[in-house]
Amino acid sequence: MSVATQQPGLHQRTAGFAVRAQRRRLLTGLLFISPWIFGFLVFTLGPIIISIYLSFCDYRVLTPPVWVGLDNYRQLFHDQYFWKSLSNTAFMFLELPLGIFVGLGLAMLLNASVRFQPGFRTIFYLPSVVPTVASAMLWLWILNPDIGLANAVLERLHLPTCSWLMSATTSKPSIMLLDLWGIGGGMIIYLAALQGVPQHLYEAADLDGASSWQKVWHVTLPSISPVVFFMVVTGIIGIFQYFTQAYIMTVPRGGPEHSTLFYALYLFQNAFEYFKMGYACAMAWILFIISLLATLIVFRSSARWVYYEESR
Amino acid sequence: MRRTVAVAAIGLVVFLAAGCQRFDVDVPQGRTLITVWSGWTGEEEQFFTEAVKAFNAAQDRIFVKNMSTQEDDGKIMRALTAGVPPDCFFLWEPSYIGALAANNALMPLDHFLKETGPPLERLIPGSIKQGYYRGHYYAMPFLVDAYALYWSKDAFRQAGLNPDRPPRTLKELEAYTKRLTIRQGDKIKRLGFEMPGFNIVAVLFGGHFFDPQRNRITTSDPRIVEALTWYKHMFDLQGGAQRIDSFSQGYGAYNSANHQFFTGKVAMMISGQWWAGYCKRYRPDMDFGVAPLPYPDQYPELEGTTYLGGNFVCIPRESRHPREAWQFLRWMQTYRAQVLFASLMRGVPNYRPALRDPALTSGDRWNEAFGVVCRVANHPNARFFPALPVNLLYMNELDSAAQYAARGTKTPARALADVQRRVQKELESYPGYRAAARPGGRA
Repeated sequence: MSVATQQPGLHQRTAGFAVRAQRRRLLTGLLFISPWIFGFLVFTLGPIIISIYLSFCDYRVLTPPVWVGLDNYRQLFHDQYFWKSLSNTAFMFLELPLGIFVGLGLAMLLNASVRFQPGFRTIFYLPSVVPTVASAMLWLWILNPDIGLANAVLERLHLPTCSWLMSATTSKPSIMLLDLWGIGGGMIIYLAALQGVPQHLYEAADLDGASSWQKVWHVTLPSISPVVFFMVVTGIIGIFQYFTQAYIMTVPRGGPEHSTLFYALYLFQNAFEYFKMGYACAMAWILFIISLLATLIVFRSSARWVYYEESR
Repeated sequence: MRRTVAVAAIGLVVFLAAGCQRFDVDVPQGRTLITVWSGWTGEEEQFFTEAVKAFNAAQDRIFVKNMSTQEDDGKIMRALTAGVPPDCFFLWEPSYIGALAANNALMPLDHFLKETGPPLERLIPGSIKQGYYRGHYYAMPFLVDAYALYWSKDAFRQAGLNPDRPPRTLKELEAYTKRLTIRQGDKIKRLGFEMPGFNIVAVLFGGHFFDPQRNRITTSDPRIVEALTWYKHMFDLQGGAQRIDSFSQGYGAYNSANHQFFTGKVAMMISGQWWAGYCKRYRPDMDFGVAPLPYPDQYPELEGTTYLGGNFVCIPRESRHPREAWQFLRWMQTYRAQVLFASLMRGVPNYRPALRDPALTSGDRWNEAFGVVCRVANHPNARFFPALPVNLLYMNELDSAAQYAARGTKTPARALADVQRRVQKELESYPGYRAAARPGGRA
């Protein structure tokens, strides 16, 4: 551009052409992605913005929304099920360290060169191919206290049996068990990360006489910390949205005794069963803020435990 | 290039327009097309289509077309929200009636009823009243559902009971249950009596869920507390609620030959009139009996009490042809339509003269069993859940309360007081239910 301003005339005209061509290219590009832009505005951004407005309304879906200010939010704080569902969801955060421990542990075992390695990898990955709904149905049978496989095995081993999903104390751990069974997706990501750890670091550690534990702690974990970080962040968001398993596996839904009434399940009930869409929108925004805060905390802390290759 | 784009654009427009076009069945000349949405699928959809065909053949002004919504009221909710509902629709879940009426989505049927009938006294007492909300009728059943006691005569014989003498009172039911339940150590082998939903038990004790005079939710009604106390007692009698929940998790599919009643895991149960048909289909060799529900010994006036439900048809306020839709609804209440549909669908006719039609209630033992339930449905003690805008919440809360009480986590009185408080609060958020001037409450 600076050239064009110094030498008016011909150059200006070519510059004009260039700008026009650039604009044309931009327009063509926009035209090509316009279906996505349209979809994003109409089906994602639009509803998100409208849901902010609706969260301040008494909106019963069939009648127009009525502005009620902060009423929905105020009510939520006095709603015992809001707190119950929040604490049920918080309990599921136990799954985060468990998932990392089991997923990473499995990945490390499967990273070792043993015979039938590809076979083992396939076997452990296989459950995550099963859709959540199908695996939930399957686990309903495994965890059946009377005729299920789990209790049959415990009985054989002369161990005390468990009521699994039928008892308010063991229902959430039972669901976690099912989730850990389907850990394959996370495991594969850890496995890929493990294979990306530079070999020379291990060699250097060997020369320094490091034990295998020291190698895991000082080489492996720091090297794959960006992946662990990614898994923690997506895990947090996923747990806040915990829904499907409870929706399918519990009778009455969220039972027994509201022990599996997770936040998203309660939100769904308000929105689609109780005609309280405004209330549900308020719940959704509170969930968004909580997830955002939790994620921010993890991000802030990441400087202390996540190592990127170029920085350290 | 430009031409290609133009051609593509025209093609797209034509394609979209074609997509928007309605692929209607051939509507005979001069007839008004009425679309009805219903949730029946498979065989039941066929039955309803038969009924629709009979209506189309019976007159020459209106042509009804059925669209199956696949057992999903959500589609109707979305259509109502979008302001493009069908001319009339069936609700799968009667609990929605109150909410829809309260939100002004349904057309009141009162003036139609006044103009063309049917006379309300010709309908069984608990049928159209299920669609009654704050002074208006909003919904009408084609057929109703009614509950009765089913028992396995083989199980009775094994336990040394007279197979032709069902329990008539709750005390008797309790004694029978004790004798019919088989336990082996910690495990249940056979349940004497499978507990029904708590809403049915509450009605058995003469409990009322709502007081229309005071606009109050009345879950703390002493009768309902008494019912829940008995409910827990019956669970404890057979091994405890948690054990029984575990046992019933291993049941086979409901609509199949693997049902616990057919596999001998349950000796007595409460089910609807359709159960006789299931017995015929899945275990034609089974020796079973049907009787009215037992009543509490201390309240003999409650003899004959049952619980009614059903699928209800409504005309949305935005229906384009409400008069024609009404013609279809009105036809459903004729003798012919009732017997035709009841013979196929095995629902209880709600038009009283049709209840004793020999085609429905005699011929074989399954028809006779069906006849027993028809008589039960027509009893003045037949009850139902009143239409309220908060029914789905109310039902969920009742289920939870029953679970808390049955497992002993909460006392029956406490569990029910919790339901009352929560549902009442929700109800008061609807105009017309707002508490007048309660101290501390907002107007």
